[in-house]
Amino acid sequence: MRPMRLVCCAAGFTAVALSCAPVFASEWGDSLRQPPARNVPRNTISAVSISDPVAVDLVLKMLAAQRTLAYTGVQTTTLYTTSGTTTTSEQSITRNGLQGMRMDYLSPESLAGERRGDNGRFLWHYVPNRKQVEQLPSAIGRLRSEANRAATAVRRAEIGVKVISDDTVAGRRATIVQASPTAIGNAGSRRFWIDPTNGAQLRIIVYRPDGSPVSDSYFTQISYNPQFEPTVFEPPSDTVIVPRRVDRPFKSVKQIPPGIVPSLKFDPVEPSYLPAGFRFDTAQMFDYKGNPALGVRYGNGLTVMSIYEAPAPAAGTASRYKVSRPGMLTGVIGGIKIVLLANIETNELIRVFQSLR
Amino acid sequence: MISEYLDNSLSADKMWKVQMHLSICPDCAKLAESLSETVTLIRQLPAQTLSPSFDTNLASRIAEAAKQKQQLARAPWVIRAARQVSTAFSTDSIIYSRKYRLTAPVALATAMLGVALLLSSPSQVAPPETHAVAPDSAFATACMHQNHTYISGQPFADPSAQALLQRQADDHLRRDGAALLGSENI
Repeated sequence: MRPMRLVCCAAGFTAVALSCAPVFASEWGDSLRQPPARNVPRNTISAVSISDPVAVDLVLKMLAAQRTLAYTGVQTTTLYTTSGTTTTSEQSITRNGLQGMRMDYLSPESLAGERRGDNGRFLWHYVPNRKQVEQLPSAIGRLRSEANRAATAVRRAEIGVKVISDDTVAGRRATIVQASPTAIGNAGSRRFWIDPTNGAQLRIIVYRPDGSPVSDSYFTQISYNPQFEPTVFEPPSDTVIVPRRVDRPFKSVKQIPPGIVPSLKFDPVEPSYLPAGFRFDTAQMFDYKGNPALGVRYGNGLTVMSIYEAPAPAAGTASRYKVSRPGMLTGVIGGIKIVLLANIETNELIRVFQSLR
Repeated sequence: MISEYLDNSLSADKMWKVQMHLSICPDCAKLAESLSETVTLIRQLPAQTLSPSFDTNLASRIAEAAKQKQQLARAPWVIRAARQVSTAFSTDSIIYSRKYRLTAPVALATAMLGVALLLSSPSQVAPPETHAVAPDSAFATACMHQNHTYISGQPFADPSAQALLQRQADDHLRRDGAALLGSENI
């Protein structure tokens, strides 16, 4: 009976997979109602060792525009997985430099009505059926300092930039610029479609180290310097705001105050090896199921590598790991569970994990 | 759960989870692949051609069996049992037919071995070793959530893609506290 059942099950496998493909194509199962994704070719330029001066100027203009430019438009975003599935959303975007950002989802149907906003003090996320607003640390608040660091990295050629060609996005002329780590092939790259008149980023494609696309966001409509309602960047007033506890970041893992280490219930580990171009960025405690966990971030100016740590006493002291999928390694080392996240090559992820002490 | 997945008897939510698990777990993916290959091999077997008189012979055998069954139903139970045994081991039964003379004992032995294994094995198959070392997947999803929030404040990031990735992680954390390690990190 059992072998027969298994054979019958196996016979249904292909049919099941084929019939469910449209459902699996999207996280929320309504891919058929999603806007079509644009064709995204693989990126065959793995690294840019010498920056193009025109590209440097354009990227610096784009970074400056992030601080000052006001615009409103409609944007399409598509996520690509290595298994070939895609998830696409369409959202209305309103931005006023570092003063505020607002995103209203239009599709897919399951996301329509959701809103995200950032008023420079905190980022909020409103889901209509939950009738509450989740509060998170402000992203554009951090952008103020991060944009300066990024500009420095471009000027110092730590990030290589190069003009690829011209294109038209949302009816506006755009110059395509590739940004890649100057250390060859160990991390992902980006392509920006930049409006040369004001530095607006009209489209961005993020690539894996192997050149395959991870995400693509592009405007289908955009207008500059619109008029804003005064409350556009604030959360809905008739909802409950639920703050998410995030502790202040530390400048170094070694600078974690001694009084906090016991509350971590483990001694944090650090990598003795980092991929070329990566440096320590910040360490931050966060709450996981009522217990403090630690997140340590490193970056090469373009890509972020995060190492998350939490106690795992039941796992023993042996060191084990598993690369679940591109850009993610999970493991245990010395009674600490580790999650390592970065858009870098798998062998680099493993090397970083193996160097944790 | 793979059996139910292959049976298409799971809810859409669980079907999605199993499919995502297959995409990240080499052991389970290998099992699903081997089952799929089994089906392919079975489909590749040559089709058997029947003799032109097969249908006629089959119909007459069925009619004869039905007649015997009616007669047997009217007989006492001791006679009925004796007739059943004698029919099973008669020279024209399938067990003693020339074509299956070798196959039948092998099939019987296999069936007995299968029953013995079923009785002696635990109710659930032990998980592959890699499952034992995979850490708390809910923790992994929480980390992904944190990571997307952090990266969305980076000047070279795609904040819309990060928001979508974070929404996926958030959705799964809220729904069942378990991880869906489907989204990727950029």
